[in-house]
Amino acid sequence: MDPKFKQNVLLFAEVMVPDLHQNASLEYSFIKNFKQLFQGLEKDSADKIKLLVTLIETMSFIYNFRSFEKLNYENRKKFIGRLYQFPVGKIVAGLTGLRSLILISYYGIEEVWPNINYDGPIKSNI
Amino acid sequence: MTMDLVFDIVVVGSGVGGATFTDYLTRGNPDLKIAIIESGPYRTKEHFNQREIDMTALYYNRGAVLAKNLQLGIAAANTLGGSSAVYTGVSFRPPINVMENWKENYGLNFLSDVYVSKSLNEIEEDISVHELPKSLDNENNKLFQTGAAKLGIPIKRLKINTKNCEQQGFCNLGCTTGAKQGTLEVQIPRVLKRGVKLFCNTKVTTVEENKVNVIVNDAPEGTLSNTLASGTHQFKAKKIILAAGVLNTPAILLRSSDKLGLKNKNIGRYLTLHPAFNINGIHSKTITNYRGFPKTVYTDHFSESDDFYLETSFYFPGVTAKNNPGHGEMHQEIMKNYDKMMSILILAHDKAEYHNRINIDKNGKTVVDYTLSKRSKNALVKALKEAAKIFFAAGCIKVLLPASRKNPLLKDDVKELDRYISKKYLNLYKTPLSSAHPQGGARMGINDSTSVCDNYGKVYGTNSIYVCDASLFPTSVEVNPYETIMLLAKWVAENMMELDK
Repeated sequence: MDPKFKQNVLLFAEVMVPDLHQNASLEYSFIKNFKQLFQGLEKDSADKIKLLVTLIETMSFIYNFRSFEKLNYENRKKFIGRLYQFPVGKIVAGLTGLRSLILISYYGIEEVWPNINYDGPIKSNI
Repeated sequence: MTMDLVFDIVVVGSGVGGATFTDYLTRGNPDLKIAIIESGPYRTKEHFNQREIDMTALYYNRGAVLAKNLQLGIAAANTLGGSSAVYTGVSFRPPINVMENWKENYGLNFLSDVYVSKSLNEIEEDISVHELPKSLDNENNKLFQTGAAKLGIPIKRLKINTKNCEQQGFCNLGCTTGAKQGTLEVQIPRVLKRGVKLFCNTKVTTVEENKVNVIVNDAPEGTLSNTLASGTHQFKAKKIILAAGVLNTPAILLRSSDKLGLKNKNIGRYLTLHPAFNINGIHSKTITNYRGFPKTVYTDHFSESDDFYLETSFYFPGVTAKNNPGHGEMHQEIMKNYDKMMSILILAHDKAEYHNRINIDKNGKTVVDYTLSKRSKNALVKALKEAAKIFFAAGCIKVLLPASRKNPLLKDDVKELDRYISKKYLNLYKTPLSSAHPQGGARMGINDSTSVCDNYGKVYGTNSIYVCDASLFPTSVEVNPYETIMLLAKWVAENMMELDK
């Protein structure tokens, strides 16, 4: 996974799931899961996600006069909030798709399960 | 690796249509040389590990094949056993009014009450369809009944096809104990014993009369290995049965149109998706609904008046998180209540419309061209309101909806649901609208100007090619479709050889 793409996905993910912010262990597990999901996507879908992340980066310059990674956490939250109001439906759909991948990746982390009182797989049967 | 790839019958797809067809055909014709071609990997119950991240690999595109307009994602299985490997096993007979419509308007007169009833009695017995006893209802199913009863909404019990179900709740990630009586457990082992050959990771590119052109891909790590070398191959057969599912069967026909000389404008058309929302409420008490059988009750109370069913359901954390609205702190706080969540599945009946279709792009890849109708939007909005009422009546303190002006809705908001939930707030680019029941695209009917296949499943304009999956449905069956697919598969198998005599 391209480092810049990975970094921007992580920054976006921190806004979706604030507990990821500055938590190295969760970040590591999250990226591992995200990579597994992303690599299993069909090429068309993976390309659309990559394009979206590039677009987020570009729009950050337009809206904020600075790169996405240089926005502080609060400004990133505000910026993503604005993106969700963007008038082009397919861009909003892209954000929704990226959000889905992020949430499935995050809640697939075993370390997170106690926080939501999920016991996980029934181990005796595996 | 070389292999004789000449067969009497080649069946494309190992799901409910293909495996049921093969089972019935081999019962009376033990000498036929048959191959089943499956695009997905060879996995059995031993390969299922109940982990959401890993098990998304059982689906095309990790669980969401997106419509062209990006407003809906289709969950379709890409593994041995097809959808039957990942369905919940909810077993519905086709509604009488749908069968009447298929007879009257599409000439499918074989679907007499007697034939349908006799066939489904036999099928249901074979795959252990039964009602789960009330004693096995988990809290979600009990609360749905409580809420519906308070509102005077009649409920019905669902039938499922399991044997010795251990109530793990992981049906959609593959059943680790083999309790679910899908084709992985019933038909596939049976036909393999009868000598049918199975080729996994084998994707059909095109078909010609008596020929199936395929690409064999490497078996993914951790799955059973291939019997054919990776690369292109051609199978030869007297008859070819397309049962590759609605995302694939019409696409194969479209890719093959030139080779087959097909000019039928209906190929791929009249797609229906049974669009669905899965929504959650937060109860005041801990209810651990991720254990137990997810679905035991439903209501069809709104089916005729408002075009939807409500079924119970429950999903794993990632899918649940995706289905809940919003993001950030608010969303995270909601997820901390995962063990207090109650869940309802909304299924809207959509009409078969010419413009909704499976198409192919310039590379021959499937394109799902589907626009949700105004009528379906109305159905979804009405269903969201009714489901919200059930949640609150069942004791939920918060309700989370994809088309609400306010999230979460609180108990007092129930008086003003019309104000909060409306089509105005249904932004399909933001909502997790999904489908697990695609139907149509190679509709069956006696008129070749409005259908793709005749009433025996044979593709009009061909000599050797048949369809045997939900693509055959002339309209939406309006319920979970697998029993209806089996019914048609049985019919096609019973008649195909007879017609040649």
